[in-house]
Amino acid sequence: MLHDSGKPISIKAVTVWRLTGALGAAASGVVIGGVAFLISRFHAPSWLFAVLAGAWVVEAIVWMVWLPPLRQRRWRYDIREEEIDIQRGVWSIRRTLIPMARVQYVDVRQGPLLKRYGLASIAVFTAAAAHEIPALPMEEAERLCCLIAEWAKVADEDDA
Amino acid sequence: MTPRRRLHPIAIIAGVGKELKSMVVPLLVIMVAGSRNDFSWRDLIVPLVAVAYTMVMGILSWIRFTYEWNEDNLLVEEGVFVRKRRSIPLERIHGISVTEGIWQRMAGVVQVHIEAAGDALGEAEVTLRAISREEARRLQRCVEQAKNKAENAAHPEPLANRPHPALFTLSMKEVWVASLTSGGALGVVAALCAFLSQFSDFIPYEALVRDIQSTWNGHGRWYIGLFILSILLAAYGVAVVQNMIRYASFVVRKQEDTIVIARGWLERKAVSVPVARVQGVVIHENWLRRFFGYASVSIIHAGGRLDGGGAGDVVLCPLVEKRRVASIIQACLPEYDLDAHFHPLPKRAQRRYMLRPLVWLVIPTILVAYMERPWGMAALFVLPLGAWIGTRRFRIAGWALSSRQLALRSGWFRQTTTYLLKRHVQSLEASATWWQRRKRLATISASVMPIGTRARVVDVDEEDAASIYRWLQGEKGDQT
Repeated sequence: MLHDSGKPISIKAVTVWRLTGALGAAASGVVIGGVAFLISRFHAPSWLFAVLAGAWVVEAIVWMVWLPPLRQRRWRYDIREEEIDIQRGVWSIRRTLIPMARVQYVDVRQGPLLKRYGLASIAVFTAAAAHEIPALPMEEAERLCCLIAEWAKVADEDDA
Repeated sequence: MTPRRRLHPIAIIAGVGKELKSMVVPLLVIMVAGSRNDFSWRDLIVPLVAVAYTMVMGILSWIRFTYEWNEDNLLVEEGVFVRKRRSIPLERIHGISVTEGIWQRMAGVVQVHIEAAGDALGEAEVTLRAISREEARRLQRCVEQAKNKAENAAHPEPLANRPHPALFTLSMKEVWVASLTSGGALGVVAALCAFLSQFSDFIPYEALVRDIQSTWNGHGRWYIGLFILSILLAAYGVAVVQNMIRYASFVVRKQEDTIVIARGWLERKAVSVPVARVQGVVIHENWLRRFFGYASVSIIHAGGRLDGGGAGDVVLCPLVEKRRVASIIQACLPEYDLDAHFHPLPKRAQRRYMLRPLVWLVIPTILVAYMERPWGMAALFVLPLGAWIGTRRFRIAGWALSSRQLALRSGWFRQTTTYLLKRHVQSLEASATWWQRRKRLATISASVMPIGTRARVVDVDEEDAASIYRWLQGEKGDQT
């Protein structure tokens, strides 16, 4: 049942995620560097530094090289009049169904990185949770936001 | 329209008392950590200032707190430095719980806690800490009337003063059994650990550990064992007494469209939950109660901590014979069907259930077995036990689907069965890891209000997961 149906998100998501991965790697590089400095004061054996450096390199590769294209390839969304269908996840594929009648409100979100690439995310809120569809082309995000708001209203009226 | 008025002055004592209770531990820590070797009056400055501040604030906030209501709205004004005026439409009040704490009892008043639907960002809550019983009743009646008016449902007969039969009560013996077999004891033990960890600054743990080690190697290990056992027993005793106070004279009634649960000894409490706000029914059976054919029933209430437990959790029956559950639910919430036929998981999921506990157990057990040779080898018996529990969990897990209702069951130590109506399911998730996909299995998980409440079953047949998924998809299709 967990096959790819629906529309993919923007291919530029890969670039954005690579960049956020790079930022994360830089941040953890600072932390690991700090730890390395601290343990060097206590004359730690040199293989310990190798382990730390190795961990950092693995982390950077996973988040900058390996994961972004896989995540982008897996992401699918399908917005129909009665429901929103989302599929995501690399190791564990998760598919979420949100009936339109349960949608309370929709947001368009855009951070500086997304903005630079002309992308935006939409967040759909139900009474129980928030669901985000990341990295859509900006016009597409705005169009979907209006569409969901419209359909959610119709579905509510039908429900009542 | 009622006149604007203040709470009964006992509210000051009740409020300040509650604040002070939560301050005791931090203040003790400050005092002890702050004092050097000799104790002087200076160490008392911080606590005294804190206590005085709390008392003054308690009195000021009592002076500033006023409330009134008319046919449509409850108006509350409060705040010492920042004044806050709130107007809550009576028809949007979702739940009322009336508590008689010890202080309130002494003054012959009650505490009323009100839950209302706020804006999209959250629920609005108001606590009227001490109002007269008569007033609380009037307020409840006004809320009911406002609701009826909003629904345009003109009741032919007056609402009040009609006797409502009790749908469920607990006998004294059942209160005993419920308290003895509840999982609350573990909670007390956890709280005890948290409490002790706060004192780590000035209890010389290192010296203690050293002592324990030498005692351990000597003849003292029985003493330590006994000591730990007695602490656990004491904690268990406290939990039992707490539960007995909590569940004494437990009565469930249904008044029109509201379920009213009254309970408690020293502190009497009445929780009213409108049926329309119920999002699901949960039946818990821990292994001990299951053995004797007993269960406990909770209802999921949309938002708010009406019952003092987790958000949205209201206990309907703390202990009830399993065969009576269906009829009680039938009387309280007729829309739910508890006779659902549960589908088991496919046979190929069993191995995954057996292996899952082992993943966590293998490394620690082998370490213990190796380091404590030869007696530590006994620890290896944990592994088959883990696998056995896994098979029990596999047998219990299952799902049931009807056109209106989804039921999911899992667990073993505490078997949990959750019944959800389709129109309350906020979203449905089907997921599969790489391992699950290889065996054509999937995890199904349904969310309801309030935020974070979900029921899930691991390793359902992929086809079954798909049919549950489609069940929510074809929402309009099957109504016609």
